[in-house]
Amino acid sequence: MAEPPGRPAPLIRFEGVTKSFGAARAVAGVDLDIAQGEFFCLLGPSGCGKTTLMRTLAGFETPDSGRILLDGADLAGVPAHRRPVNMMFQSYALFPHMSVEANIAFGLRQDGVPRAEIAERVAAIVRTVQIQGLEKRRPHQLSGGQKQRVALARALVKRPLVLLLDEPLAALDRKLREDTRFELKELQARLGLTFLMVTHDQDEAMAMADRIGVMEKGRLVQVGAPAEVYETPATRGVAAFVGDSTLIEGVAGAFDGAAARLRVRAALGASSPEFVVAAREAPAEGSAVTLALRPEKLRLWTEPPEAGTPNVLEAEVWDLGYLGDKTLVRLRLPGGGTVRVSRLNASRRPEAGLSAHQRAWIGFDPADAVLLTR
Amino acid sequence: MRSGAERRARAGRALVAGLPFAWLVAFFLAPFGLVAKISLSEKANARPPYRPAFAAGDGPGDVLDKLSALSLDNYRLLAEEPLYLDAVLTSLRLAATATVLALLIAYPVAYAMARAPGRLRPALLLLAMLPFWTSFLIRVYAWIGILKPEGLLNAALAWLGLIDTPLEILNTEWAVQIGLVYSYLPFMLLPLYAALERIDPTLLEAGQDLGAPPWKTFWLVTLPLSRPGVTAGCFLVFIPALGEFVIPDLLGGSETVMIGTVLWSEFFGNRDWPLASAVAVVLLVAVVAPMVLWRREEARRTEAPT
Repeated sequence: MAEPPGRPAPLIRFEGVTKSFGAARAVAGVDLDIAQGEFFCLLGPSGCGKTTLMRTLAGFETPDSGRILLDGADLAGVPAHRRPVNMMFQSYALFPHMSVEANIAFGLRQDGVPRAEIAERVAAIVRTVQIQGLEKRRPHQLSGGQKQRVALARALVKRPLVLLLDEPLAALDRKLREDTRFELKELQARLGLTFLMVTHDQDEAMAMADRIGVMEKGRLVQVGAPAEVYETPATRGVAAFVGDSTLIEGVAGAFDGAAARLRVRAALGASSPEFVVAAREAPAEGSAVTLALRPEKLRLWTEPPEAGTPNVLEAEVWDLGYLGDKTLVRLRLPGGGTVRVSRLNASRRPEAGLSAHQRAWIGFDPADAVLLTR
Repeated sequence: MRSGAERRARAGRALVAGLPFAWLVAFFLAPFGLVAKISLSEKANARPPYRPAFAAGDGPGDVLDKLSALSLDNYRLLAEEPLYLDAVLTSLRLAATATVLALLIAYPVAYAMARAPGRLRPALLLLAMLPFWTSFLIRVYAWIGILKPEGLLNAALAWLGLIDTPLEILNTEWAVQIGLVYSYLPFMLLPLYAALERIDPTLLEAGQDLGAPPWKTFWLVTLPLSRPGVTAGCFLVFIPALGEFVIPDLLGGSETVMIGTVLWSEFFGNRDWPLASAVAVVLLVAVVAPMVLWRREEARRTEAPT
């Protein structure tokens, strides 16, 4: 990645980091820069290598090849206990034989911080994460949310250069998880700390991160702001994993450079309708391409739309999934294959005039389809 | 109707709680009372070999007479006769040393077992328990063959050129000490393994992440968390080792007199049941006292947060 001019040197730099376990390649040549004060999120399905990549920074895994620079210094050979990064573990890993206070003070004691200062800093962080009154308790006397806060306090109290968060919200129930998202984000902004989070939950990544790095089979396949990753996924994998997409395979046709429009012949069973999609550059005519269609960007008509509407397909409503805020409609295309369309339930009137097995027409604007060549 | 069901439930609970209690009273407390009573009696050359014995036909007056005939003479003898005191002290020393040695040997072994790859652990556990498949007596006998002057150990040392004359190990305290450590090692190993295996490895990572080098993480996290295993192992070794009779008898010769040896010879050699019972009571107190102290300490420790 080239540095835009004027941007400060990155706080963290991964350079060609590779790590295998036996024959399994967990991380395959990852290059990544993370800036000071950034909230960066590694997103991917389980087993994609995101946790391994984070653990190489913490010092729990040694890369087979490549370098990791933290604040300009190569971390090779620096053991975990000397790295100025702290991790919040997925299981929290609170010491069960110590009180909350002793857990939080543990790291400061290791650094030989004077007693008075330890007491002061522990008290301050206890206020920051709002766990006053729990100082004397043991971890088994805490609720899940309280444990999460203690783990956060324990990692933050050392004022690390980077706070590593391994699925920080996975063990919380839904409501608490959503509240904590904003709290964590707010805390990160207030402290001006660099956060590196690992998660498989795309909502979490979208809601919290400044930038998301999507990993797939050990590779970092796309890095960008949440909206960028969502609206312009770089690969089929990203389109399928981040958010919901209907993928339609096709073959590239003629390219109209002036209008930046590409014709794509879709392979939908027996029928092969031709679509027009927005494209900045033309893939070779005849090469395989994939169209990714987001459910919320597809339009749905119960009557045939007026002539001249682009990219219209006739389909059969297969089933309706009512989700409260929206309804997910699954439709079967005549040539086989299903398409998902979501309809916002913006008023309290239930979905009128739509029922299973009726005929419907779907369509999309040329600019709303994502053209994927990888 | 509801109260009837409630009463039945309460009776059921009482039964569930009461049965083991009744079992303990019938088979532990009652026999112990009997032993305590015999220890306060006088030796007799009859059946039973002690006086006074209570009979079914005794009236209240007889019982009172017989109660007043009980005395602490046996305990006085135990305290005054250096042979007995020596035996108690020797036993305490050997058992304590065996406990410490077993702990020092078993801890690293248990640690390695607990950190071994998951698929290896059942095999390692099996190896640790393998000695139990052979009779305890035979295993102690085997040590005679190893430790005797012309035995395996001396032969090996001589072959290596480390010694010229065979070491006198058999029939000394050394032999007893070796036998005790060997025999009770698995009892230390298994609870230690169980305790160490239960420790979440991410706790050790957390320790290092927070700045403690591995040795310090061991000291601050692993060791305190393995304490239940250490305590259980120490009791499981110390208690039977204290009363051990076979090992000093076979390996220690006449030189090493442990309290178990005294107990045996008083019972079966001298047929002095009252004195033997007094020894048994002393042995029990020696075992129970540290356990009670430990329990009290443990209760205080868990109440007060660190």
